Amino acid sequence: MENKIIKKQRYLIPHYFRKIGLIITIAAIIIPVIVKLMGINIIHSKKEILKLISMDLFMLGLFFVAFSRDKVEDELTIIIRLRAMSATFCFGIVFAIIYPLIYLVFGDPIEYIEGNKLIIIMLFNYLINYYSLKRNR
Amino acid sequence: MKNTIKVERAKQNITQQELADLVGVSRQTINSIESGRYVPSTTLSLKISDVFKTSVNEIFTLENED
Repeated sequence: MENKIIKKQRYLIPHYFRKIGLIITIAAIIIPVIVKLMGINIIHSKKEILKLISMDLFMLGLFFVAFSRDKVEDELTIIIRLRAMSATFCFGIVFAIIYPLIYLVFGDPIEYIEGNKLIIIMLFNYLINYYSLKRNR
Repeated sequence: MKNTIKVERAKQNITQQELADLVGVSRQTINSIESGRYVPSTTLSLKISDVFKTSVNEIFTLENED
């Protein structure tokens, strides 16, 4: 018996994507480490490509973990997701404001946070919020 | 908001998991409702009352601070 509202949750991906996401996330961490440990000589432009690919894979993996359905997705998990999402959004805004200010305070040239870095930090924050709220429900 | 879900469950001898399966939520959600940490939606309240064959008003009662 599933609520119509829960059935309408089209924005969530199937549960098995959580495992796929974990595998992708781990692969995104391991691949650059292996390349470094094996001492594979990569030219500068290829290094940038490897960095970009591992960063994108990491982001994709975290996205799959964060937005895959739970085994039992009910109204309480929807509320928890909403709370975690709003807390993450607030955190993201505060982080984006504070980040360049830190450079300003320490006298370095001002640097703004890159979009993909901010998304990864927000995905991490969302996962922490979601699982801690779920544990304390 | 108070509720008598625990009492009704005991009367009908059903576990939290069984009730959760009957109304289509997780066991943790039933536990949260029973302990008063979460107030269920109208739909879920009606489903719970349907399982216990009792009116919603008899299961859920408002407290002074509500």
